[in-house]
Amino acid sequence: MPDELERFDDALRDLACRPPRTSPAEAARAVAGAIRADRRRWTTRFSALAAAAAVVLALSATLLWQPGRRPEPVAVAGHAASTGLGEGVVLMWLDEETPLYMTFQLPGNGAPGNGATP
Amino acid sequence: MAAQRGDENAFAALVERHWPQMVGLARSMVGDAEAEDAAQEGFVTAWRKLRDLRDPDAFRAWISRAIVRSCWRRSRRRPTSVPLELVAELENPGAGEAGAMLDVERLLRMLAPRQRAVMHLTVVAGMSDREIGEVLEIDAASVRAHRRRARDRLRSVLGADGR
Repeated sequence: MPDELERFDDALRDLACRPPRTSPAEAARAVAGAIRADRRRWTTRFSALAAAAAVVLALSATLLWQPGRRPEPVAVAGHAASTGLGEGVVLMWLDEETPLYMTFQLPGNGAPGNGATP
Repeated sequence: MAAQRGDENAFAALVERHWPQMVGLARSMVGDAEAEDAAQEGFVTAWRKLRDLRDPDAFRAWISRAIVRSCWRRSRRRPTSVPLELVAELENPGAGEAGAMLDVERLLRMLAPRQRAVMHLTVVAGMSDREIGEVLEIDAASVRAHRRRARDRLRSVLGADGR
């Protein structure tokens, strides 16, 4: 039995030590070529990925970004006249549908609690 | 090491120096037909990871690991089961070539990939259990266990063959 295992070991050595079909110099050239091809493949993949990312970014920016809607200029004076704003009342439009009325009074002119000083 | 700084010529010199041994290792792992492709693949992968090599003096063990891994990847891509006719042939002296001369490639196919690596690194490369453990990233006790199992398997096949 040990002889059989020894035969196996010898056969394994013979197999492994058989000279390769490709010479070391040729193999080195082939490996260098494969490395260059590998690098080109990675560069191409990276470029494609970067281009795809740029397209996705541009699309997202286009779809998500909307310029802030500004209310149409309002003819404040005319509007004020039509809504019958009293003296000392200022109307500001926060947007097209949201008016903000502010009332100003001189101290002593108004009722308590209306901005008058005590 | 110059190759680690991206010097392709320096790496080519390393390939040239280690090519025969690495093809031998690949031959034990995946057979003669695929050995050179597996070795080349291993060298290319090694180039990509060359910066990970901390001790340039340990290049031989490190490149052996890259080749072994490349062979494992190939083994995974192919069916690893041993055809029944092969087992029958090996267990039946005279039925095939195994009767007269040891068909070592076929015998190796009956071993697990890690066992093949252990057998090669022991018998051909003459590495110690610790060195083999470094290549295969296992401890020395596991190396011994793999070798024992491989020998048991071979003994059972060759015993039947020699009967």
